[in-house]
Amino acid sequence: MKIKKVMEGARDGEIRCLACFTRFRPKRGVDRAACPSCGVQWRISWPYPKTARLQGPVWETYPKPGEPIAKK
Amino acid sequence: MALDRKIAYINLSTGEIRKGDIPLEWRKKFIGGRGLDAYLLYTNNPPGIDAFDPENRVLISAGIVVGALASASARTHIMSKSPLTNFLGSANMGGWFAPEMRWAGFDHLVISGKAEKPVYLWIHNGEIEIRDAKNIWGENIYDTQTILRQELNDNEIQTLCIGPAGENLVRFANVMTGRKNAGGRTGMGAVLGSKNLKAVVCRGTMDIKIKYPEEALKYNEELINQIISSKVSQTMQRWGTMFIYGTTNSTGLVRTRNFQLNQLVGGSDIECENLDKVSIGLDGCFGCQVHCRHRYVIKDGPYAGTYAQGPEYTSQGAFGAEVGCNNMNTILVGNHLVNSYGLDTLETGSMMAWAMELYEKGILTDRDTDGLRLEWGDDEAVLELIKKIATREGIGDILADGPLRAAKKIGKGSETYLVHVKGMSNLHSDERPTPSLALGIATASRGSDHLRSRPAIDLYNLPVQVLEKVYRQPDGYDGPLTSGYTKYEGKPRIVLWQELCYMAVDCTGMCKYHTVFLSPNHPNFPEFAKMIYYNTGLEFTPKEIWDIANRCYTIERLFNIREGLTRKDDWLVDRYFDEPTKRGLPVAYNKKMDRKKFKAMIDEYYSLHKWDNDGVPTPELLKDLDIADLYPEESRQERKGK
Ligand code: SF4
Ligand SMILES: [Zn+2]
Repeated sequence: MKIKKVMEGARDGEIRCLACFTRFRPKRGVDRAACPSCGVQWRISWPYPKTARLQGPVWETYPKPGEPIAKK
Repeated sequence: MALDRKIAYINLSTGEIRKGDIPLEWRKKFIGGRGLDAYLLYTNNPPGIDAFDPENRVLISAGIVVGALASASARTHIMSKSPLTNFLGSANMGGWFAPEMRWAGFDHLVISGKAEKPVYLWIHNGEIEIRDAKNIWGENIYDTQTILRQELNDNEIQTLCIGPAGENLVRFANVMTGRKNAGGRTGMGAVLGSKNLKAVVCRGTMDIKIKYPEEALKYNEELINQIISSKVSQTMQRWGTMFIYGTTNSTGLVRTRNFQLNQLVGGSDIECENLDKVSIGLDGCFGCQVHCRHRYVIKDGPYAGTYAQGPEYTSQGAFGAEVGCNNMNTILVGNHLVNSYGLDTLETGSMMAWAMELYEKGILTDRDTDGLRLEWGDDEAVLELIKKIATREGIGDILADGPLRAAKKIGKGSETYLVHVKGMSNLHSDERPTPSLALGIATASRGSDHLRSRPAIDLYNLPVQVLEKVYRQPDGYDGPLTSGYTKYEGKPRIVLWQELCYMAVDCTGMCKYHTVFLSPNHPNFPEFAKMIYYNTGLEFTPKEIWDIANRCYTIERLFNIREGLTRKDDWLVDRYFDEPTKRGLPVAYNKKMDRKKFKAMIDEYYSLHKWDNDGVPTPELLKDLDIADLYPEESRQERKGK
């Protein structure tokens, strides 16, 4: 029985920005990345080498309550 | 064959045990597990009795493919009238108990009466004995199971049991199996406690004959691939359900300080990645390749060296964000404590957060708490309060009665601060920005609940094409579907769809994480049909499974209607409509529910269900579902008269 061990295909290493819902691919293995569309900064973790996960925001740069997000 | 497991009726007052076959007609109408339990509860329970009345039945069951050739076919279902809500009580747990119960010959237990002194049931290869439980009464969940293994001299037994919380009739006590598998919500552990039933122990070697073994094996492989190849499963394999917090807290969808806030700013210590520091590997339920629960050893404080399993997203909320604690150790210890006492983690956390808000507002004082300072973020107070609730000590005795009864005892406007539906507290998520999730908790059959109707994938803002693929089938729905979790339009359908999907999966006995809960690509009605066919030979189309799930869900609704539920019970507390969210990303900030739009959602939801304006299933629906006899015209008229 062959079970696929890691996600394969077009979505490898992709995450979705929670502020503007743009999907983007941080560089493999990085622990921080800014959304290319709105600039919100995220901490990234890697459950598997090819699978990225949005761990949480970079709190110091998190938008203030009510502050709009500039989507390109 | 796979359908030869029995049903047993056990009367603890008289000691009578009656065993019988499960009629094929029941399988065709209700499949098994939760669905058949709903029918059995409705037809066996006297209407309107108190949940602690010996006549209140408690049902324990395994779904139709449990222990067979189906991925994660591990779930046990427990159903009764709830002592927390006075409506439907229902709980579902993973682990290894349900497969063992099937191998011991039984699919459904219908337990009534009350034993004179504490007892446990010993079920082995077609036999059922009622045994003295004096050696285990008073023991916690872990020790109960260890003592039973020694007493029966068998390490292979599987035990479902209650802890001190169930014995003390805490109205949100769980039944448990293993170290962390919890049949939580609605206080099923308290019902067992009221019957003096400490445990049910199973051991069986009766093979389940698979109808088409080769095809079943091959299909199971396909199914596992479908499940394992999703990103969500892969993330759960690493960190369990705690991964969800990354999305919810980052956005501002986490209930914090009992609904005063919707985000734990800077709450990084309780992120799942930090489990790597304490985890010694992962564990799973029977037949599951995901293995979503951590095995860990507590490192710091008085519990250092204690081995436990979990924690889940709910504990992360209960002993983290909700009570303002940004401390992984508090979550690990809190999770261990509730599991060992047999307490519902979610309800415990919610009751504590409510008490903390009352303390903050001066409604509760040091005099009420015996000097325990219930301050946000006080890790020690949180852990101390868990113990007080489980043992019903001091303020814990009041909180142990659940939201509505506790508010009545405390008075002073304390009910204003409750966050509940039908008398059961809400999950530690904040649904003010998410109408579909709000509708789900307002209408779920077992009270506020995220596991009976939550369209969690709505949070992904999936494109409409993806939503259409999932939510238009198997009945050809052609109404609206919308992408965007802040919208109201098109959401009643996805709540209804999820209700029936979760009902169907609970009839099979598979795990909810293996269906469309956290991934749109996971199995649902077509896959259930194939899996049931290869394992049992029973042929259903996906639409037929949908109809069966609808029938079973309607019976749950009828149970609640018979117990006095009205439209006003399908509603949210005022805070959802009056207090806007104060934190989070723009998509979640300054959001509150709109009463008018929410009412319209409920109207649409009732209409899609073919329920009348008061939420009662219409005669036409009952006729279509072939259950008109369960709610005759006299009952309808009697209700109208009231
Ligand atoms: S996903 Fe988790 S809860 Fe579900 S069967 Fe697997 S191990 Fe159990
Ligand atoms: Zn963005």
